[in-house]
Amino acid sequence: MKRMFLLFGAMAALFLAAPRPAAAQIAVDVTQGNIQPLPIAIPDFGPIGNDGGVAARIAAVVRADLERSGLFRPLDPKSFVDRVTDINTVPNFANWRVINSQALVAGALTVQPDGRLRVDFRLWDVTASSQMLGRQYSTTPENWRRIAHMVSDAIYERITGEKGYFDTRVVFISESGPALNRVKRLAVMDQDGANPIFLTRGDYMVLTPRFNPTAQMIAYMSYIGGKPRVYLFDLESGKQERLGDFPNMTFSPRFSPDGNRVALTLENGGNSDIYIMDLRNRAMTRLTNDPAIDTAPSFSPDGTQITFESDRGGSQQVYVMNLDGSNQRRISFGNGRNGTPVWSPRGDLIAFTRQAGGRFNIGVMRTDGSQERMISTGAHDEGPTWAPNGRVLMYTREGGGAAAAQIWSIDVFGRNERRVQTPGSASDPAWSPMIQ
Amino acid sequence: MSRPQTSGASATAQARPRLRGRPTTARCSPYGAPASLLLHGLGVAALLFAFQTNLDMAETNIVPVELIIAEQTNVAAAAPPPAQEETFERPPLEALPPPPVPDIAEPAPVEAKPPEFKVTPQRETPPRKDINALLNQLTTPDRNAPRTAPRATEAVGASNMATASLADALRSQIRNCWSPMTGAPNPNDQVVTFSLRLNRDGSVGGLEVLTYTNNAYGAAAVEAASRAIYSCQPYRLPLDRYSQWQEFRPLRFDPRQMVQ
Repeated sequence: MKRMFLLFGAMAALFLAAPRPAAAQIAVDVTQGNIQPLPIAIPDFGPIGNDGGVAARIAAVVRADLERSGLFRPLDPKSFVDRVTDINTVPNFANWRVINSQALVAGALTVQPDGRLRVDFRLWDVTASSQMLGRQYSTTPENWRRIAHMVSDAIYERITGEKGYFDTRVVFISESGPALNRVKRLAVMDQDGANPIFLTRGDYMVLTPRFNPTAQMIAYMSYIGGKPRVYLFDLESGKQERLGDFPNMTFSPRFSPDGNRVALTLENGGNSDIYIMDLRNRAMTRLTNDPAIDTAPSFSPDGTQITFESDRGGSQQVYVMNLDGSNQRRISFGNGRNGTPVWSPRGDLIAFTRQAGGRFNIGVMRTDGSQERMISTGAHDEGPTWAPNGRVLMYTREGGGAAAAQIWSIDVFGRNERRVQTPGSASDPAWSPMIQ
Repeated sequence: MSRPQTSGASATAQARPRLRGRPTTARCSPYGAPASLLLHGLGVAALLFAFQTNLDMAETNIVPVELIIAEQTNVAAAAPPPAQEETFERPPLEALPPPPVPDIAEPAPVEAKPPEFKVTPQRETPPRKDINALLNQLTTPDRNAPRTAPRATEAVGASNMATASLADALRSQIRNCWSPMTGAPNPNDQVVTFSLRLNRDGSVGGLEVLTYTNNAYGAAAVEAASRAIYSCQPYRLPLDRYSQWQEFRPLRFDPRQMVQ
């Protein structure tokens, strides 16, 4: 037996010895790195036919998207020593390595006979001299920005392993006018600040807009007629409708992941509780029944739980309950007051606002309240909203010198904090899901 | 008789924790087994595993997507030409009904294909060179050494250096080039191990993935680590110990501590 074992071992050793050096092998663990944005070369897409300059603009949008993510460093096209003349030939990788590029995007735009645009692109791994991705999209000319965002999403997904988030929109409250007579309008824009559109005229106050899962419907709170109520706004038709007819105020709406229900807060005699309205039959189900203020509900992505804020324990804290209102439990135990919880689309984290010691933070924690970490700090940071990939958040920042409200973004680790471009002052952002 | 054996085993474990503690797939307890049996068993198991992994990788992970690499010129792709792997013809994107948001117009969903995965991008056999030329090359300042500082060479060189310091030397060079993608829902998905063979001039002679998680995060982790390995070459290690550092195995990249 032993002899057989030895023989087998010897055969294996002989077999392996041939292609491999017969030397000791050293084990190495690398556990620390040097996190740097990936240098990527994105030359202007080659135009084929008369494209009116769109090809160059598409590449510029892709560069801007990837740069804003903080994970990429698009190289200055002026530094390029080579060009992409034909995306169907293999690039000369040495010419891209020499400028320290690790990836190369080669794209071409074709204006088709029917006027539609076709974009072909390839993503090359410059280090390994191989193709990572090749895709083709086509669309009508006015949609060129969306094609650019889709190209960005494809590159981002391929290199990071995460879903992208560039082909998305943000609904927010646009603010203008003096502080005492602020005009607040419902507005929507692309995630990069392009194409801002005002949805209401500012005759009445609007607050807390939220997208439904198809990004076609917005629920928000408005003071139309002097009473705060929850309304729905259909982006396709421009129609608005009031959600239910209640004697008292309704606020803080949020869609369920399937889009069929809205969780909201209903105030009754000074007591606020959380309800779910089924949009198909408008039936209301009460979830909390507590003399304290329960509000700001947000569904888990699987639709089985809701996180919300309540001051039932004496101060505002974050709680979680099942969809039927059972098993209500507090999960935030950190300093100060914790509110406006929002469940990550990935399901793993809950983002929230902390107010403690005169400062505000945006924080994230696991859904059981563990591993809490603060990712932003400001005089008044509030109201986080998640990108659909669960990696980036936006929130409102006010005060601290810049009195007017602004929208900022940050990643879930607290890196890459930036101001989001908005037309004027803006607050209360809500990120759309990926646009279908 | 049994006592010296036991203490011998633990002394070995202390002296070479990495060698024994982290074989890529085989897991062995560092405790208690008689030293000789354990080491023999481990050796054979490691060989068998290595053999098996090779087979697996060859079968599953080399995706013939590549247009053949032409280093010299922009030769037209020799392989399947305009490999438009995916073609998405969108349904007409005629503008949707009225304002207020005309630009929500509607491209069809984009099908996402799981990332193709290419490992071992460069498995050429080490170039055959005259030994004198090689030595000259190693003693003259490196022509195309990129940003890697020669600190390993300076720091080491004594012939009694332990393998641990060779590991440290490699690690200290690679970590500067490694920018892992962190943040997977399951951080274990981003741990990958390789076998790295080096040529005498410190360039990469062969790279092979031993273990990774077969999803988008795992693929991204393999590529981020491969980029680090290739972009950091040539590695500066003491030439007189080449027999020891010609292969690093397992070379494990684990970004989990960096996330929190």
